[in-house]
Amino acid sequence: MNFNFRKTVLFCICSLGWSFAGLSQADSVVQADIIESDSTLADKLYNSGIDKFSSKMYEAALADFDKAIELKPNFEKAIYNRGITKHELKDYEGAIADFDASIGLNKNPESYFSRGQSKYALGKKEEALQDYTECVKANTNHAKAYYYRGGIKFENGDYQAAIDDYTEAVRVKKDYSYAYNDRGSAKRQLEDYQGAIYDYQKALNVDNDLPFVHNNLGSAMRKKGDLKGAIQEYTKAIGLDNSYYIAFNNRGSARYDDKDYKGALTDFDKALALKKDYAYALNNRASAKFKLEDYKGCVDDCTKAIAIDANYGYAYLNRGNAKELLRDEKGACEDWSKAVELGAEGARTHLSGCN
Amino acid sequence: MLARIIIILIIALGHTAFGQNVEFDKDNFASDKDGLKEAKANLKEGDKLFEEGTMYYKEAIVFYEKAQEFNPNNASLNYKLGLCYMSSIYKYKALPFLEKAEKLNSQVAGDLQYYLGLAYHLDMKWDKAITAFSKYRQMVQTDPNASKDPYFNLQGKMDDIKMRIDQCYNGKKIVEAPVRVFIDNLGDNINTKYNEYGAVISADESVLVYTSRRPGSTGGKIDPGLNEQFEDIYIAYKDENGEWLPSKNVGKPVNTDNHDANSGLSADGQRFVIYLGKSNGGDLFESVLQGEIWSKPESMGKKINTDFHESSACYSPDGRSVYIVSDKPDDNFGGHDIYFSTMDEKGKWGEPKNLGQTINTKYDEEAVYMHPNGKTLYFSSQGHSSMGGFDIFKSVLNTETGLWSEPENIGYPVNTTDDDVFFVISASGKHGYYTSMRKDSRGLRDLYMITFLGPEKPMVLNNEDNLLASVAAPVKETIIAPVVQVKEAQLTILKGVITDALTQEVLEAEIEIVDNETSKVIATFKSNSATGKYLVSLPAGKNYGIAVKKEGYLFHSENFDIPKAAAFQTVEKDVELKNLAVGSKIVLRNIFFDLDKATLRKESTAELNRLIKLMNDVPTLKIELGGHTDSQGSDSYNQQLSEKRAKAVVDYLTKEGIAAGRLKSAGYGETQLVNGCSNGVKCSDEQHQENRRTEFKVLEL
Repeated sequence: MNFNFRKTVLFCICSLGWSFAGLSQADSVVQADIIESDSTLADKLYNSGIDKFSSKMYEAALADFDKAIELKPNFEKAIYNRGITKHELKDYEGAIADFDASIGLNKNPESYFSRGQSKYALGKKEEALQDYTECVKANTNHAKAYYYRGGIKFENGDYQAAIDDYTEAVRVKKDYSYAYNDRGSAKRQLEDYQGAIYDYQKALNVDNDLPFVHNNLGSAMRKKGDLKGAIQEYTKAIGLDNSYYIAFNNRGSARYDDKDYKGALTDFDKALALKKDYAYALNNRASAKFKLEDYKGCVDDCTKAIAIDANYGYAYLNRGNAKELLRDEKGACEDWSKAVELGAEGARTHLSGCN
Repeated sequence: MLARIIIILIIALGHTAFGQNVEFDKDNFASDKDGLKEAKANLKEGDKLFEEGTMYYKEAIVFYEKAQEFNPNNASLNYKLGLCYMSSIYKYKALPFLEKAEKLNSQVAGDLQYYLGLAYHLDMKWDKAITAFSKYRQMVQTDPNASKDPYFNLQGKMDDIKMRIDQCYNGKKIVEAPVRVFIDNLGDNINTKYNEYGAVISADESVLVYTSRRPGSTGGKIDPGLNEQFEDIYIAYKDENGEWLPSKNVGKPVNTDNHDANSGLSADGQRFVIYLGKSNGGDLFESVLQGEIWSKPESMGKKINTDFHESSACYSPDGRSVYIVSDKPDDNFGGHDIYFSTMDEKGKWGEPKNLGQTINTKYDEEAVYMHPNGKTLYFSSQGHSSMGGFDIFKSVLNTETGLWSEPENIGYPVNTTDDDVFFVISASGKHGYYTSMRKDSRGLRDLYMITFLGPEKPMVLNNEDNLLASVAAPVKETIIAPVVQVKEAQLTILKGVITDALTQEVLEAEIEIVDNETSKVIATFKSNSATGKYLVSLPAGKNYGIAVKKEGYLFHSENFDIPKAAAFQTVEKDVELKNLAVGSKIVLRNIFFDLDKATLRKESTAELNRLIKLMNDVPTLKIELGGHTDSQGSDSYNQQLSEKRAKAVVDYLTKEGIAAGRLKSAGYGETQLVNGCSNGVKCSDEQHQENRRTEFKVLEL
């Protein structure tokens, strides 16, 4: 799965999320009696706005919601939907203002949830987390609020709390594959690899065509030492998305750990064919070359990785290792020294042999 | 069809011919009678030499090879060639001949399987070697008379086979985990096409002493027994780029017309042990470098040298003890053992004591070397977990319990299935030196430097995953680089040149090393009179006072407080000794006070005693003792503290009998800093330490 694919996934979730909220409002309005008055006109404009939103004509939808609210200032649903439209237009501040107004009129859990999404988009994670909390207080079965709150806790490194939220999410929505995946990831971060494997497998039971879940499952297996299993899962991920350079890089690492250095080299080559500036794959290919005693090739790849990321401490460490075996003691010591400077502490012990 | 039959017959005959023993018989060589005659003559010549014993095998090979060229399919000749090679330095050439002998006639000799075992073992074909040794064992057990050797000792042979089979199992294991090393020939300034061996080095690797059998040896004679030059001792020094300069023959009186082989060299390269085989069954002598001349070797004394074979020795880093190898029967576990002797107050070596069964085995131990850290002993042994012949082992002395650790095989490829002896290692532990015969040998045995790379340095791979389904950015994997075990020599090498401060002439001065904790003199050394160079090894874990002394000069003092965990370091410290003259000033680096107090600590005793001795030696001497502080704290506080501390030293000296009239105390506070660490300037503790000192100034003589 490459970066663009991930963006598409994110977009779909948001888009579906917003559509759902918008259409649900629209349905209730469609069923209302229409009286030709300001109020009636406002309702008509509101419905028109929903149609345009559904057609992704966000600017036009926004104009309709604006007019509807102008005609009916306390039109809570129109205010809420305008907030959603602004969010789609990446006017997060404007969206938040509308959700604030919506909440002022009615403490609807969806408004909290949506405001949380906009605040998250602005990087205001703590405020977003509070909104998700308000949402689940108002609706204890709001699976997405649990899920996204879990995501923030994950990002904050509070993995156990994240697991608790993901557990609530799957309690409410038993086929929530993303929640299973993310809970697996939180367990993995806590080095509960068996638990992670269980959750990734649950996610795949719901949807077996998610390449990133196969990749994550592979990595959990690799961490647990099941290299053959890991390689199988990475292979499945690649089978579902042959442009998934991360899975190629990971499979290469699993093969490296399995002492199949030639196989690893092939995978790192493929990762680099898909993403030629992938510093990790360059560094890893250098490691495979080192094991195959191609020390010169190792130095060359590390040098390329460093050219991409000048602060890549481990590439310096690895290059130093290869230089040592090329009898370039001075160069090796300089690289290890730089590696330590960049935080690759493992190089510190190597320096003890330097003058 | 006929053609096919002919081809099949040719192939079949060919095979028969290869697998069949071919005697040197006219029926077999009817078409080449002259060739047969010549081959038989060579065979006869070779046999004559072969019968003379192993000393002549080298010469027998020449004749046998000629006969072999004529008839390569004679089992007996192949067997004998195998044996001859096995006894030469080209042992690895033996295997093909022995294998062929077996193929031609497996019963050609009763001990064929034994020699095949040796050859397979040498070639690291462990399983084949074990099989061959086992076959031989079974054969001699069932038919002890199979050997025609009248001196055949069944039990001895059984022990020998067991040892070799054990070595094969050891080898299998050791080879699986090779040590990472570079092995480099020491180059043309050291090695020649003749034999070089027995390298020993100074602690800083600047001096190399070794033995060679190259032409131009002292006396220029050939050893008739070996048909090689007599051994001489050679020395080489490094240039400023770290390259070896051309070696020099140490010359007379060390080298003589006979065999002269070196053994241990002191850490400073100023003294070494010589082995003289002609003396009393093999004895050990010492020679000291006096300026540029090595002194006449002197016997290490009756307690060291017995009527038995004392073959090698090395010094402890303080030069006050020696580790000796001897096969004397007293207190011996078998063969050559390693003993330890300490020098008495008169400079005589004491009664050697066996190092015990942890080190010594029923087999031979040889070529002992003590690392400059004073704790790690390297030696060669045929016992322990040798993978063949002598292997190099190390054992560490627990200085608190006096016990040696279980000897550890230093690993393949340093150790091989052949004899690995004469191993020494630099103070840093980074380089080892030894004798070997490798592909890049200049001829015969050469000297090599081993660079130890330590355990494999793991490569670090980086990975990431899309851990969160709703977040596009992948999450990087947390990397904890595996820890690499570092075994570092924990000692400090202090070296430099001692000169006259005024004339800059190099001086031969005495360097006294004191353990400040006990105030005891640990060791004394002298700088070289021709170069002024000195070198001392200071193992970690002590507070050392170093005093450099020479008559007519003020002594110079240095302090090295080296924690137990300190890493290896080389400190270069040139010392300028000042003449005893009015106005001369020195810093007393080993006078210590309690923190923020003027109470002298007991670690100051040795330095104060040196001062008392100087005052007693020069009765007309009047001195000032000046106290100095760093700039930390208020000026007035520092002033008072320095005055009190100077007075404390004066009081001590007075109490010890020095007339008060000869002593003056002065406090200088922070007014005479030796660096730029004045008020407000950020400095390290080491920089502040330089300013905290007691100075001694000559007022009158």
